Amino acid sequence: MNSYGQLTSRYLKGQWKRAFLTVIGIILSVALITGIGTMVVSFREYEINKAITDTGDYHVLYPEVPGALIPKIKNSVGVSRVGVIINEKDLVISKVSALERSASGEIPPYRYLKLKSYDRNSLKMFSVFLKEGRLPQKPGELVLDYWVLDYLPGALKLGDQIKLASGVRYAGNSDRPMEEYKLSSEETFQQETEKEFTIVGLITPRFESSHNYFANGITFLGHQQLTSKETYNVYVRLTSARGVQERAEAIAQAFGLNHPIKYNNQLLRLSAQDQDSSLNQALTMVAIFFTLLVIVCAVAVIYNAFHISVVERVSQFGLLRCVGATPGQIHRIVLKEAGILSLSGIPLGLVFGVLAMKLVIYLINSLGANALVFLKDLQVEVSLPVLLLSSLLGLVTVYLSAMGPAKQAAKISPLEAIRNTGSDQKEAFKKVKQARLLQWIFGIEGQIAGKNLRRKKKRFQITVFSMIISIVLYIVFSYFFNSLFRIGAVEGGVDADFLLSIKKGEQTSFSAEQYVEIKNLPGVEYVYKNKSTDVALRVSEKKVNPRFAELKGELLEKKEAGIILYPAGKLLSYGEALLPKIEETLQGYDLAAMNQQNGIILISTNMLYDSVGKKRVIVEAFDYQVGDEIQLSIQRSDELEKGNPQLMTVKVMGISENTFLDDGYTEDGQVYLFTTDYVYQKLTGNQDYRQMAIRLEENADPEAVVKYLKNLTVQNPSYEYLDISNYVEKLRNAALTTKIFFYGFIAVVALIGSLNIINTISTNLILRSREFAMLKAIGMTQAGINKLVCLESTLYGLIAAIYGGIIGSAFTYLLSKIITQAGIEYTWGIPWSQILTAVLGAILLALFSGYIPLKRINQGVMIEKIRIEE
Amino acid sequence: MEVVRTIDLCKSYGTGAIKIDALKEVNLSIKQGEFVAVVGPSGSGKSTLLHLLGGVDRPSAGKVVIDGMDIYQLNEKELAIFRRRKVGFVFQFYNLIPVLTAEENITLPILLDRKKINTNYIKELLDILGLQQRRHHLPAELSGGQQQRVSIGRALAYKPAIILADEPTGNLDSKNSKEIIDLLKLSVKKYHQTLIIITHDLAIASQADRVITIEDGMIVQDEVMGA
Ligand SMILES: Nc1ncnc2c1ncn2[C@@H]1O[C@H](COP(=O)(O)OP(=O)(O)OP(=O)(O)O)[C@@H](O)[C@H]1O
Ligand SMILES: [Mg+2]
Repeated sequence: MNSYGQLTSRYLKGQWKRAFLTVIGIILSVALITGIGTMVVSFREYEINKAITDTGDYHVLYPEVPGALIPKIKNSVGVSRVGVIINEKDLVISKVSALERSASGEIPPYRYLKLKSYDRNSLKMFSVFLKEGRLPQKPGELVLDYWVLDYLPGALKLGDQIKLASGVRYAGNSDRPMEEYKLSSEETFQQETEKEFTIVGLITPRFESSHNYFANGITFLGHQQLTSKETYNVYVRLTSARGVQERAEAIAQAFGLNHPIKYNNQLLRLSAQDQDSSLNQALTMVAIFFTLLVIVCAVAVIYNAFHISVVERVSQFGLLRCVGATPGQIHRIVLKEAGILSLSGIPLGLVFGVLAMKLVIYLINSLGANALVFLKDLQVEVSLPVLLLSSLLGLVTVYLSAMGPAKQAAKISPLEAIRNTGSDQKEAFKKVKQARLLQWIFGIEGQIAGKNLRRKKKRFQITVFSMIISIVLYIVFSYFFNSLFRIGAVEGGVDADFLLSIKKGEQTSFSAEQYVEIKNLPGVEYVYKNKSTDVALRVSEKKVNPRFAELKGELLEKKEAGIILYPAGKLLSYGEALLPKIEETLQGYDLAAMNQQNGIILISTNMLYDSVGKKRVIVEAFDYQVGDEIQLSIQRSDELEKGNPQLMTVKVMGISENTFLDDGYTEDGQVYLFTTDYVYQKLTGNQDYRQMAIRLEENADPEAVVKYLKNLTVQNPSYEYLDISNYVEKLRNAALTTKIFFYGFIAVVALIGSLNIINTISTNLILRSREFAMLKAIGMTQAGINKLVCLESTLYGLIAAIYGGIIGSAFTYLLSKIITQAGIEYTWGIPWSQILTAVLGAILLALFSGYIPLKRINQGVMIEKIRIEE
Repeated sequence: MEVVRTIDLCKSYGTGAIKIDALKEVNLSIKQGEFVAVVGPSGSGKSTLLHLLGGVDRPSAGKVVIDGMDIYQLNEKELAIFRRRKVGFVFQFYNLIPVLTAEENITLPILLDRKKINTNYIKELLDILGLQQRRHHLPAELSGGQQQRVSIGRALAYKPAIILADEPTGNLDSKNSKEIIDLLKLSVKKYHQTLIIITHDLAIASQADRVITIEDGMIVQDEVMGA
C-alpha cells in the first residue's frame, strides 16, 4: 500500500461480504431501471408495429394532391417515403339473388368491389393479409377478399382473368351518388366502363359477414399512370415523428395543398406527437411519475446499503480520524468505494435487468396456452439508449446515495473510535419501556426482539424503510396496471367467433332444435343464447351515485316519493353457457338459490362521456350491495307511469364490473341484471331470443361451422351471420400480449422488490452475527435465536406493511388523478388486494430472508464470531 | 521548553440535573521530553483530559495550547493534520484497522499525509517492536500484545512530538506490559518526545518523571519523581 486511497480497495477486499451486499443493492436498482426501460421500449416497439399493421406506416395523409406535385413532395426535406393511393370507382361483383333481397332491410341490387390502386410504396406501407397468391406487381393485377370468388361466375382461381363493370351507385333514380358503404334497396348502378384484371392473390379481411355487400380489392398503380390533371391521396412518412404537425403543414404550404391534412394519430401517439395534447401531457406525467418513483426507490436502496456500511464502520472511521485523517479524506474514501462498487454493480445490473425481462416473458410464454401464436409479436428489445440511460441513472443514483453516508462518515468524531472499543456499536441506547405484550406472548425472545427493534433505531429505520419501498413499488405498479385494465386500455373482444341473428320478421326466436344442432357442430365449444328484455327499475334516490346523477340526470327524472323509475334496465340471460361465469360471480350463493330467490348479478358500472370535462368517466350507477333487493317491471316505462305497474322483486346475489360476453362496461346509463334461464322465464314469461354467439374451441377448425352458417343464410335470408373470428383472435392476442407485458412488469417489480427485502433483512442479520454469537455464548438456545429472528422479521414486515400500505395508497390516489387528467375518470378505492399481497409477501420474504443467515449463524464457530471486530 | 499547556480547561457532559463536570478548570504545563503518568480513580476524568490534549474532543471552556498553538482555534481539517503530525495515540483496546496488515496500520498516518515512507525508519521500528516476522499479518491474526505493539508503532510512525497513551497495558500481562513501557520509553528518549500515559499500574507510574493525580475532575497532586 503506498497511498491512503488504497484503503478503499482494502476495505472492499477485506470486507467483501458487506461490499457484496452493497453491490447487490446497486445491481437491483440498475436492474429495475433497465428492466422497466427495456419493457417500455419493447412495448412501444410492439405497439408501433401494431399501429403500422392496423393503420399503415405513414404519418400524414394529404388528400387530393395533383399528380404533378407528387415527385416534388417526394423530394422534400424530411420526407422518407411517399405512397400514392387512388380510390377507384366501384366494381360490380354480381347481382344479389332475389331470395336474398326478399328479406327485410336495406339490401342493394349488387355486391360491389371497393377497388383501390396502390403504388409500390403503398403496398409496403399498408399491411395486406394474403391468404393465397401474391401482391399485385403491375397494372391490371388484382387481389381481393377471398370470399368474393363464391360470388363470381365460374370457378375462378389464381391467374384467371375477370372483367368487371365499373361505375357509380346512385340513390334511387336520382343523379345523387350514394354515400360510401351506405346501403339502399332502391339504389341504382350506372356502368361507365368495363375493366379487366388478372387475379393474383386472395386477402383475408378483418371483418366479414355472409351478407357483406362490399368487398375489398387492390390493384397496382404504376407511376407512369399518374397524370397532372387528376388528384391522389398521398401518404407521407417523415424521417421522424418529431414536430410532425409543423413539418407537415410547411410541406402543404410550400405546394399550396389546401385540403385538410389527416394525421395517423394511432401511430403518432406512440411518439407522443398526436394531436391530443392533454393526453400527451398526462402520459408525460405518468412517465415522470414512474421515473421519479423508480429513481427515488433506487436511491433509497443504494443509500441504505451505503448507510449500513458506514454505520457499521463508525469506529473505524473514528480511528482514521484519530490518527489524523481529515474529513475530506474520509469523504473521498467513501465516494471512491461507491465508484468502485458501481463499476461492478452497474454492468451486472444491466445484464440482470434485461435477463429478468427475458425470463419473465419466457416464463409467462411457457405458461400461456397457445404460446406460439403471439410469441412472434412479443420481443424483448435490448435498446442501447436504455442501457446508456440506465448506466447514467445508476451512476447518478450511486453518487447521490453515497453522498449522504460519505458526509456522515466524514463527520464522525475521532472519539467514536475510542468509545466504541470492545463494546457494542455506538447507537442511541435509550432506555426503552419493557415490551410487556411481546414478553407475555413470546417470552424473553419476544422481549429482546421488541427491544432490538426500538433501541437500534437507525438500523431498524433502514430495514423498515427498505421494505416499505418494496411494498410501495409493488402496490403502485400493480395498481397502475390494474387501472389500465379497468379503463379499458386492453380490449379483450367478444367471447365468441360467430354471431348468428334473426333479422326482424315473422320468426321471433331460434328453436330448441336449432340450438342443439349448432351446439353439436364439430369445433363448437359453447353457444350463448342472447336473451334480453328492457326493464324499468324502482331505485331509491339514496342508492344513486351522485357522480352518475350528474352525468345521466335525464334518466333519473321520473320519481315519486324518493323512488326513481329508472327506465334503462336490462334483464339478461345467456343460457347455460354463461352459468360457470355467473357462478364465479355469486357471492355466498349458489345457482339453486339464484333460481329460487330470483337472484341476479348486477352490472351497473358505466362508461360515460362527460362532455363538460371532455373525458370518459367510469362510474357505478347504483350503490347496491349483495343481498339487496330490487323491484322491477317488464312493462314499458310509459305504461308504468299510467297505472300501478306489475312489480317483481329480484335479489342482488353478485356484482360484476364488466358485462360477461364482451368484457366491457355498459354504456348510456344501461344497468344489466344477469340471471338464469329459469328466472328469466319466471319474470318475463318468455324464452325468445334472436341472437346466438358461437364460441369455437381453441384452435378448432371453423370449416364445419362456416359451412353450416353459410348454408343456413343462403336458404333463409332472414338469418344473418357475422364471422368475427379473425378480428376477435387478433384482439385476444393483442390483449394477451399486453397482459403479458403488464404482468411481466409487475413480476419484475415484485422480483426486484423481493430481492431488496431479502437483501436488507439478511444484511441486518449478517451484520449482527456477533451479537447472536454472544447471545448463544451466554446460553440462548438455537431454537431461541430462531424464534428471536422470526419474531423480528415478522415485526419488520408488519410495521413496513402499515407504512407501505398507507404511502402506497396515497401514491395510487395521485396516480388515479393523473389518469383522470388523461381523459378517463374512475373511482379510486383503497387498493386492498394489492396491499394484502404486498404485505403477506413482505412478511413471508422477511421470514424467508432470515433463514440462510440463521443457518450460518447456527453453524459457525461461536468464538470466531465474537472475536471478529467489524 | 513547554510543549503542552492547558488554561482553565473544562469539560462537562449533559445539562441541568444530570450535568457532569468531568474536568474542572484544569491548568497544566508539560515540558518537552517529559514522561508524565496520570493516575486517579475510575471516572475521575483522566481519559477526558487525554482526549482534549490530543485534539479528539472539544472542551466546554478553556484552552489547550500545543507548541504555542491554541489547537481548538483550528478548523476540522487543520486539527486532523495536527493530530496526524504532532500526536500519537495508543489505546487500551488496540484499535487497528482490521483490513490492513500490521505494517500498513503502522504507516497509515504517513499515507494520510501523502508522504513518502521512510522505509529505513519503518524497518527499524518493526525491529524494535519485534514485529518483523508479523508485518504482513492482519490484526485478527495477532495476539493482544502484538496488536498493542502495532498500535504503538502507528503512534510512533510520524515521530510525533507527543505520545498519548490511555491505559496501554490495561489488557496485557505483566511481561507484555513491561515490554510495551520499555518500548515507549526508548522511543521517547531517542526522538526526544513527550509521553503522557494514563495508568492504574503503580509500577509504571513510578518510572515516570512526573505523576499527576486527578480526582473528581481536578488535579489534586502533581509530583516530580526521582528528584
Ligand atoms: N460521553 C459521555 N457522556 C456523559 N458522561 C461522560 C461521557 N464520557 C465520560 N463521561 C463521564 O465523565 C467522567 C470522566 O470520565 P473519564 O472517561 O474521563 O474517566 P476516567 O478517569 O478515564 O475513568 P477510567 O479510569 O474508568 O477510564 C465520568 O464520570 C464519566 O461518567
Ligand atoms: Mg479512562
